[in-house]
Amino acid sequence: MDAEHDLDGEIADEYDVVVVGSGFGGAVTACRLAQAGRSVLVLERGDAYAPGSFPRSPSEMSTNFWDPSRNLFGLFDLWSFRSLDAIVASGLGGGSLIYANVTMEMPKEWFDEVADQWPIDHRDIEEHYQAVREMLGVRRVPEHLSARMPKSAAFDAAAAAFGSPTEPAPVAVTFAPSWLGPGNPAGSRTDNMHGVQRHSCTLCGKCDFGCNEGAKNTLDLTYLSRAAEEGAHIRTLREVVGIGAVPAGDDETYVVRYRTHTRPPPGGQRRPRARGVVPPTTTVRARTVVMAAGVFGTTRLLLANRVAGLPRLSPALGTRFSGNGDAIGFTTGGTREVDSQRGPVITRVLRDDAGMFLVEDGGYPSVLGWVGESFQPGLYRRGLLLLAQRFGQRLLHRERSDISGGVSRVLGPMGVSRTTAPLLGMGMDPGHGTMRLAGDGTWLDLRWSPRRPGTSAYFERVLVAMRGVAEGAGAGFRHGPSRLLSRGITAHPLGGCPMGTGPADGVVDGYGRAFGHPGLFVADGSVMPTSVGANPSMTIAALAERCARRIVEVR
Amino acid sequence: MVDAMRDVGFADCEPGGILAPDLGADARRGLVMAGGGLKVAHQAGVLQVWLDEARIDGAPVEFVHVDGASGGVFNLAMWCQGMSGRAIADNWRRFAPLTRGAAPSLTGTALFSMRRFRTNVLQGVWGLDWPTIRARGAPATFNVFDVDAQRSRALPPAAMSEDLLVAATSLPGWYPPVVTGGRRYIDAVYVTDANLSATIGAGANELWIPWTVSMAGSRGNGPVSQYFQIIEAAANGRLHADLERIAASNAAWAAGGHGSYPHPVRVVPLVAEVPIHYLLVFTRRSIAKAVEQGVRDARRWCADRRIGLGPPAPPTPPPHGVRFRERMAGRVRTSTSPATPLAVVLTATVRDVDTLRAGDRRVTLSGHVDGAAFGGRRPVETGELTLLPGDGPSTMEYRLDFTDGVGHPLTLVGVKTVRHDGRLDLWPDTATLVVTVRRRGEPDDVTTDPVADGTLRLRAWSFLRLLTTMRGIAPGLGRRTAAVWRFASWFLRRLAAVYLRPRELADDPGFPAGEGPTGACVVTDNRVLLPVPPERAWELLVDAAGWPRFYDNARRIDLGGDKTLAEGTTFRWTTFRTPVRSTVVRCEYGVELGWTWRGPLSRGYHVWWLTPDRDGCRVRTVETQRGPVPWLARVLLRRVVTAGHDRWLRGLLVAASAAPGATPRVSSDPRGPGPP
Repeated sequence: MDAEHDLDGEIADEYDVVVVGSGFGGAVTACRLAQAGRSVLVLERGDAYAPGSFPRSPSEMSTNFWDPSRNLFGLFDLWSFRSLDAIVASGLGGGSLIYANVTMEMPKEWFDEVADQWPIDHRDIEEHYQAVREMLGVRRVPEHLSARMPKSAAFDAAAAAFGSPTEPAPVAVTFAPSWLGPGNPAGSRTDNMHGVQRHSCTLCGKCDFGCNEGAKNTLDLTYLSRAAEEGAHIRTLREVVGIGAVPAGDDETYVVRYRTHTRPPPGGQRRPRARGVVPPTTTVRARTVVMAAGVFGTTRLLLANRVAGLPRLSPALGTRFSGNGDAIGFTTGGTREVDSQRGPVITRVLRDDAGMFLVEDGGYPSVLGWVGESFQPGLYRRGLLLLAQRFGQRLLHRERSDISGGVSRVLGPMGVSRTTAPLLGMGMDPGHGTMRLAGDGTWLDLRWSPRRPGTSAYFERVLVAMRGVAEGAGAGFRHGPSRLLSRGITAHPLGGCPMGTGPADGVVDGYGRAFGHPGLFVADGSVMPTSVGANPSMTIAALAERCARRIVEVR
Repeated sequence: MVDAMRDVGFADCEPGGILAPDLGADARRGLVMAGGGLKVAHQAGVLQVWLDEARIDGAPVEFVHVDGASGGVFNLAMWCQGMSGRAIADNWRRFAPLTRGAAPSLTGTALFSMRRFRTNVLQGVWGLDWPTIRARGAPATFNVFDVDAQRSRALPPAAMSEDLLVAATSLPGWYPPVVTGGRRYIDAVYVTDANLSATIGAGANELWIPWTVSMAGSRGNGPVSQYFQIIEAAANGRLHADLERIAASNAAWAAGGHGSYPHPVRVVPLVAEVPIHYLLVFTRRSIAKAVEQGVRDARRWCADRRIGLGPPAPPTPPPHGVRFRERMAGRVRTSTSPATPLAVVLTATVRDVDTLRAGDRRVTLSGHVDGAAFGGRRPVETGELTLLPGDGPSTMEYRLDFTDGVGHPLTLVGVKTVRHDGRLDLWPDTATLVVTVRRRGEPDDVTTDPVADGTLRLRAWSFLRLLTTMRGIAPGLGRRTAAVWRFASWFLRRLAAVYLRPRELADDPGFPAGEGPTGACVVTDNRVLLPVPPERAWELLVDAAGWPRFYDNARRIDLGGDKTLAEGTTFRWTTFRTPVRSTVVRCEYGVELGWTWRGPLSRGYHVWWLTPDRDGCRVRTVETQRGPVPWLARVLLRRVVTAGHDRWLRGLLVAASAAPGATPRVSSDPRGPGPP
């Protein structure tokens, strides 16, 4: 790549393909279509984050959220529906910026259980996994790093006590070879669209907040960089709001309307927009539109445009939502040192084929360790004792000037952060959620409940296993906070524009092409008619490869 | 060169001055309608003379470009609409600031609000007609300040709207900024009160400037006085800076070089100290006096410059119109929902009752369309009502252009059919609006379904409220009452002419006589798009015994020996928990299937139409019901039957898709392996 890609460059009036969103669906289709010689425009609502530019300080984090109506253009897009909370990303590269790197296939046995709900076979997905694996540089977490990551061994021991084998997680991360230490330069400045020097993984555990080393093989560094090389136009801070079909005989072309956001200068005062003030809207024409704005983005856009712009969309739009069975829990109070702050966020995977779920070891950056410790009442009790002791000494004129030992005693063993480890579960939750537009057709509403028969049985299974793992490690188990409120939490929303055999049960066909709109394709997680069970990113990317190949064939 | 120490001002516009170069015969005149708050009433008087009476070489004065800023935009808008100078001046003479002008605002962020001014004056006595202004495309620029971009904009008439006109005079503090098109706008007076550059840039080399901002220097010390000192300083300061630039440019041209403007520019100002305040004026008389002063000043000004004066134009007739506000609400069908609420709230403005009576039945509509399917409340961009054209049975046709929440341009067409074809149908005819929403510019044909269609109704309560909003548009209470009376009497006589005549029987095309929607108590209309050819859908429809497989609301179907439905087949079945006896009366293979039915104290007609489509076939089903039970339960039945038929169509979709070989056809696919 000769120069940095101009993410704010010119946008022509017409393209062969407009790709809405740049996550695992959009990046893959954009890359493959650009390689096939199509003129491609990628419209990404979020900003671009080159390695090194992810916010870290408290003041940066306070504005690192996505809500354009409040002039927030950050990375995290948080949703809270009636009984489900969800976290998704908004930025160039989509979910790959904040995911935990796990890039694994949907197990064939699990697919077979729900194959009647899919219009395609497992091998239709499987044939594309290899291409994704190569592009994303997927590899197992190397064994030689185990010594630096006590949590892997701890998880293995616990799983063994529970009676389930584990395997190293396949991750899309660049690790240094065994003869070099972590954090060495990798690749060159010219191999990515940002023009930055990447480094291998330093095991800092901040994967979920964006990798400032550039060790994560995120989509902007892989697929999107290749797309930019092939001449695709990739534009950030462009939020698509409208899609309208223009009939042309038996075929259609599309008018895509997008808003251009202007990010306030760093350090500039942030205040909400005046009422009614919106950024200017621009239109671009395309023969083919690929929707890849994520489950919430794609579904909301299609719902909002169904009345006037895309009237032939199937009534199945909005159905079959699932959170991929995400569950979170914590081991507490064990004796073994876990130290979840070191190593990539997920390193080991426990797979239970009978219950069709996975349990993975979680991790968190060390700063959250401090936050967790600061919630411990003992810390404040000891602190008060020290103060009282100092006060007493002063009254008796027996002050000691050296207090290092005292302060260390106040901090105590800091055992909570050493022994607490998040456990992440996910699996084949039957997708039964339904999304629709509420209010004046302006906000997204989700009907989903963790208490539905299939779902509650599934969660029961996962939580029993997670408790078993925790107790296998000789530790206690704690549910995540949402469990108490009978809510779900997910980072892997799926469904909403499910694929099906016809418009009665699906919005798109087995290639992601919308029924009724021959030039409209959906290539993100919203096409999944069921849960994926495994971390879904690789399956989304594989389906996007399949979708892109189909577009090249028929458009 | 200009002496740097000497101030350039209007004094240099005298013959021989630096601002009065000799242009020879090549004088391209530009008119600069400078601001000045309500003092621009004086400017209107000047325009009466300049536009109508002044003669140069025996011909009226032509302007290549006209610019307006701040208060001057009112006169500019009227000029852009094609009003004569006399009409502009008469509009000001008829402006009563206290009762018709800006009203104090108790809730907003500013002292006053222009809401009353908009309806009473801009849409009322002045009669600004924005479609005309935009379409005429007069060579003009309106100056308005874009708060979000922090820059002044000079907009052509084609880009203007009432919102932007009000914005161009929304003085901060006194009036709130106007939010339109997603941006905030205010008065541009602090940037420019007379955009000389825009006028010169449009080709003018002789600028006629009626300048009403006081150049005497205000002496008051109160806060209001000081506020307007700021404005005077901004306006006069900017004017003098512009004049200096012109002077420098002229000097350069005189010296044989190139100035900063593309040609020498002559400035011909008419400067007046108008004895009314910029804003705080309360009587019509003081405004009329300012207009008359403008007329006098302009005539003297022309005489001084040996510009000939033609005969004075006769006074324009005062406006003689009415306006009322109506709200109609109901449910429409879209591709997503069989019944979604929609309401239209419209202000109808009849510009002139007499031309309406004479035959020009166009009425301007403004207001909004409100429906969740279109993203909430959306303003009407252009609206027109054609009210009872002709003499006999007629229609009221509403046509509204609006844009939905995600930017699709749409047109709503609503029709009330005024024809005496039922026993007591005056109220239902005039209160029922059959609406169709289409993508703007899309032809009204059968190959595409509309975006939405359905029926809106004027409720009795809304009608009473409509009556309270009826207002005359005319100067003076007596004239206003007369206008309302003339409109109401015409309207009633027009209705009487229709409804006091003998009944004509309605003929609904596509329905057997007496079974059509006209006069029916309940009419439902549902559609679906099936991914199979019409023949396949037809098989499912005529196989009545198989309906319960996909429609649980059809029970105990007794075909009496027949296998499938055919013309003349009679069958008994239970639907909506009612036993009915149906007889097929229309049956055309793959196109139309219709049966009449009788139930307890009710009867009706149910028809299915199938049309081939590029993705398969479109199915539309309409049912009409008559009789005492449907009349009593009509409100409930409309919803229940619509929802029931929607379930029927969904079931049909599932049944049709599940059938073997029902591969969804994708129209533009190349030959080759189809979808899996």
